[in-house]
Amino acid sequence: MPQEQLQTAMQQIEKRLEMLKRENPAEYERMLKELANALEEFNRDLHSIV
Amino acid sequence: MSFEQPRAQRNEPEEPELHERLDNLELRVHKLVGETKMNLQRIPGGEELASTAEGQSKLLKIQESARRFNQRVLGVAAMINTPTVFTGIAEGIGKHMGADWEQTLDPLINMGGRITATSLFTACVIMSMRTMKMYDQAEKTLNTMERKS
Repeated sequence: MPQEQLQTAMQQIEKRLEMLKRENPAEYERMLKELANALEEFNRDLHSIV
Repeated sequence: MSFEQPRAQRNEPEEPELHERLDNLELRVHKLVGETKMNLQRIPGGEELASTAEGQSKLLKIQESARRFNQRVLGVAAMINTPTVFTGIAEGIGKHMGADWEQTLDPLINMGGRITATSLFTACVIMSMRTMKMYDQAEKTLNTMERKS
């Protein structure tokens, strides 16, 4: 993926995340927890498969 | 008139402040992103897995797991109201990213000690799409092989 395209997408994400953190920190926390749980599950799966 | 005692005097465990909890969570996600990358590097390539019966079964499990992970990351994208950005990154990766996925991923997880939720989230999108793409391609090859035999 071209770097500029990725940078633009990340800027959009950053704007949303900053707004969420400022306006609804509890939801921001929930989002981080969900990301952590998704990663944990994926890692567990990969460990058990290989 | 009664005054509430400070938490320390009540011997209650102190709940970390919100900013401290968020910092800890970001660190936890950062660590997990690094572990996931290492796990993905340990898995044999799709073509290699497709060459044996045992590998084929693993291939299907990895695919299933990657799809589940992808869905959960998409769920997070919906939470922060960026599903179209997710699709943009995902499509971009689908079209352009091959063996160089690590070069795209590394700067996101080694940002000179600075961890941001944006880079962590983007790293998750990249890892889920890369896994799906890699093993979907292997499945297609597998199906072609089966049709030929």
